[in-house]
Amino acid sequence: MSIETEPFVFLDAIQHWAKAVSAFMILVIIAACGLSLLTHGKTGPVLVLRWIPRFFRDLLQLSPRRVFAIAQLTFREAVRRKALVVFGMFALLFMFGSWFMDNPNERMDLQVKNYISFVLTAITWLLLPVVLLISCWGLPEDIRNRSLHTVVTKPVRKTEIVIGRMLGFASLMTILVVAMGLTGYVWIDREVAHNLTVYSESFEVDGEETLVEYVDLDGSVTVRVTSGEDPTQVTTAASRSALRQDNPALYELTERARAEALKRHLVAKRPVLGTISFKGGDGGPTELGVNTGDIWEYRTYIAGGTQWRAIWDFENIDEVGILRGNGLRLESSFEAFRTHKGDDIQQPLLVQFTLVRVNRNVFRDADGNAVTVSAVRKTGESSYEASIDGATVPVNPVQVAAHEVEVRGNAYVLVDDPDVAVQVVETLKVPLPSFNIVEFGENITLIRSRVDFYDQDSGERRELDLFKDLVNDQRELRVEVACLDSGQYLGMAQRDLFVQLPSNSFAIGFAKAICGIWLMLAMIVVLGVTSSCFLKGPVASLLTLVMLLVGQGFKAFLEKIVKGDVEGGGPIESIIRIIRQINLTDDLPDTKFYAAVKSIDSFLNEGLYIVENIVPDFRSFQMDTYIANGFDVPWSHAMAPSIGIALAYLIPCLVIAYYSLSLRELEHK
Amino acid sequence: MDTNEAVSQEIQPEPEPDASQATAEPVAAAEPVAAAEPADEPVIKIRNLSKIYRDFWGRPKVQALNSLTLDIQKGEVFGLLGPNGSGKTTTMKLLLGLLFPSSGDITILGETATNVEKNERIGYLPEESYLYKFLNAVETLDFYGRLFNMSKSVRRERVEYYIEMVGLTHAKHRQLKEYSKGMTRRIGLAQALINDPDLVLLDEPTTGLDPLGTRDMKDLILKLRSEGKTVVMCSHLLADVQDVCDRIAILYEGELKQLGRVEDLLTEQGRTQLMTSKLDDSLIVEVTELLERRGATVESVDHPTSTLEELFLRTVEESRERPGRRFVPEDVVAPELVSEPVSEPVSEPGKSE
Repeated sequence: MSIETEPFVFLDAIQHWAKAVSAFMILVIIAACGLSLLTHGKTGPVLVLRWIPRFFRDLLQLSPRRVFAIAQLTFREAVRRKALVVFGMFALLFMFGSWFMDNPNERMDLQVKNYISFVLTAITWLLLPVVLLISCWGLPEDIRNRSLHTVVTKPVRKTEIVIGRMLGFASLMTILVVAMGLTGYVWIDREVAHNLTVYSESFEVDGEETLVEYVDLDGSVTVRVTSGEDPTQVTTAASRSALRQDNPALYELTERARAEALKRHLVAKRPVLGTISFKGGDGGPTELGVNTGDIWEYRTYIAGGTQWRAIWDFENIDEVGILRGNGLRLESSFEAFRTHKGDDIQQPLLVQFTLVRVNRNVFRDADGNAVTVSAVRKTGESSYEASIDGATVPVNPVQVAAHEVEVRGNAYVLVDDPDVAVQVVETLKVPLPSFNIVEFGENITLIRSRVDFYDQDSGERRELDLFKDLVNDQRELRVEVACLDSGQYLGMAQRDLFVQLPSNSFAIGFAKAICGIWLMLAMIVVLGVTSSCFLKGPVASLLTLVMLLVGQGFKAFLEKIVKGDVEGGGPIESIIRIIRQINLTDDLPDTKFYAAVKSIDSFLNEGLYIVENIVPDFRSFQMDTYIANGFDVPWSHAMAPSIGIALAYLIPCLVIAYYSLSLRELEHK
Repeated sequence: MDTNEAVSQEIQPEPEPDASQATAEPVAAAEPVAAAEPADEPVIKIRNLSKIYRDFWGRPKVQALNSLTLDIQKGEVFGLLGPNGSGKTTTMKLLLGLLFPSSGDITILGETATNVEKNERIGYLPEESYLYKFLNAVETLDFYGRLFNMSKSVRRERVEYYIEMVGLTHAKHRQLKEYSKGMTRRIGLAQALINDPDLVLLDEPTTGLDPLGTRDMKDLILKLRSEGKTVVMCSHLLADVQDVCDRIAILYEGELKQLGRVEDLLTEQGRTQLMTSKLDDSLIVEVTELLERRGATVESVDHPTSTLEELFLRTVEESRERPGRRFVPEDVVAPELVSEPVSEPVSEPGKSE
């Protein structure tokens, strides 16, 4: 799951894509020209170049009627091949799945996570092989049994065949995904409702805040209702139906509480993540917190009762969006590292949040050159000067966004240019009341738009407006977290604290996750149809499967190899290390032989670089973890990149498929 | 009237339309395509066409066609003959762009063989009807009609017309997988004609057809010619080719061995055949003596025989007109057969081919 703070920039992505595709196409054309020169002599390259504009001409002459006809035929063919049987298997899974999944001893949120993961995983893994096989075998089968001969001898463009095929398979896959998604949604809803036997919710009834607690265990139902100042009323019944008959009004109340509880469990939270940094024991900025000895450094720690602070800088604090949720909701989940047991090992730690208004500036001279902060002096209300190489020049502060700044060493610097120091000025600090945290659980802190606090400087209580006074001009807010328990440590990671926007409906979040599966399967269809244009069914299936496996499971490893982050060198070097039993951390002897080995490896690495960039990143389509963990699928960080990836592959695949089909002899086997 | 039309009228009389053709009105073309080539330009121009099949490593495996050069004119029925492996089907597939030439040039309807636009005016019946077996006849023709970008109303008209023309009305809603071989050929032919093509390429058109179907196919080819369409067929059923083709080319091991008009190639200029009404023996002797006196050599005198195809067709025609009539050999006594009441023959729809 990735909820990055930096949004996906479409324009940059398109530029990068255009460069990559152009480079790839030029390479292919050069290779084709070279090959044709060998096979056809001087006329070969001319023939190849003559084919280039045909694609664009065919694309312009595309007939929707022909495309639709081929798509419809493809759909019917796939249905005839019993592709819909997969839905039956899916239904079968659900009929018996709940036998093995219901666990009354498990926490409800974990059960919900299991249900959602199960549904989305089942849809993915049932459909993947079906979609892969039908899309890879369709065209080769048509070529093998020569049905395609009666199509290509009609005025059908190859683009129409390819697009029609893709659309046909995609429409079948869409029907299956939608049907399975709807079935899965209903199943999750019913399972969660069925297992919701203990809940407590509070809401207004006739103007009074009313708390309804419901327990349905061990064959009896107990309902406790606390309304306003009235004493708690406890009602018991033999069963839910008995409660319905005996006390319909109370039953209605429990139903309302049940609906609220369902909403709370089936939720799509919308988080706004911030960037994390720390303040050390001396109060200065530092990259990481204290290492308490964990090898896994996902979390680092702040020491309780010291000046250690964890700092989150949030951007895009949108007043309208946040106020819909009646204020700023901060959700946190921290992990404690205890150096002493204290009175009770279960005792929660005391934590305090402080809201800080900050300004981040970079000083630049008249030519736009950045100047080190330490060289800057203030000369007036808003005028500054700096000494550069002995000369004094006027400089201007330029505001920078939070995500452009990071901590390196003990200083704030620009992410893009770490040599440029950034001035971070805290103009206002508002400490909030301290509270006890629940470890490994949700801690919700609601900050109303009017913040009332005790000002230590003036010794008086003050009231500030959250958005006008504490959120800066760039709609940024800093939250400092301090642990108040001396001797204890509190572990923090970037995702441990976030601003919670008003939640989306679970149905929408679930639909987005289904969209992610759809996009992944659409990619398989595109890759499968493309590879089937130049390969036979089994080989096309194998190629598509390899793309899927590498893109899904080995992409990160591939990236590490290409970057040179994997110890042991390249393929040849690693083989030599294995044979000669040289440790990974040992340097290789400085000989000509090993220099040659490294050269070969670096050449092979270039090849891997190409492979890494050709294989689609299937991880981008995995959106199930968002919704399974109760989060909405973010548009800019998940949906947009995956749509972008699918579109980015569609166009080059179309080109490859077109030329593969056009330049091969369909009769020649 | 150009030479080809004159030749075709001379060679074959205009066939009588069958019942289905008589009832069905021709449907107007959805999008009439103007002929791109000049009137005297051949419809198909092949120059030094060679095809070499190669193995995986690009080494020559088989020379399927060797320097073929020929022209096929508008409005003629042209036959490509040859034994198996002579290069007939390869030529056909090169014309359609299913194979690429190793060398040489093809111009078909004024376009190169790989140009898709030319297919607007071409109908192709493959050697075996490689159609989608899960579709029925109506769906099949509708699908191919859509590939020609025909509107729904035109498609509907044409589908009905061609299904009736090929005699599949009774089976039009059955999936093609249930069709017999002959029925499959018929629907294959219908799909080849759905666009009312100017050029029809037929690969072994009569294979799998019974004599009735063969006759229908040959009648159809002649009808296409009478409509000014060009037909190119390849076959090794020589009698069929002889019946319908204006010109033929004989291929052997990928090379052109003979090319010309059928009657020119078959007529024996050094011999004469007289055909008269029945003569008695004395008159035959008299005529023979007269001829020998004048220096001619009489090689044989006998009664002409009909072809088996004609006999079969005549028998079937008579059976249709007089149902229930049976042939009882004179030397077999089967009174019970003769005394049976005559009943209407039950024609089984579908697999009657």
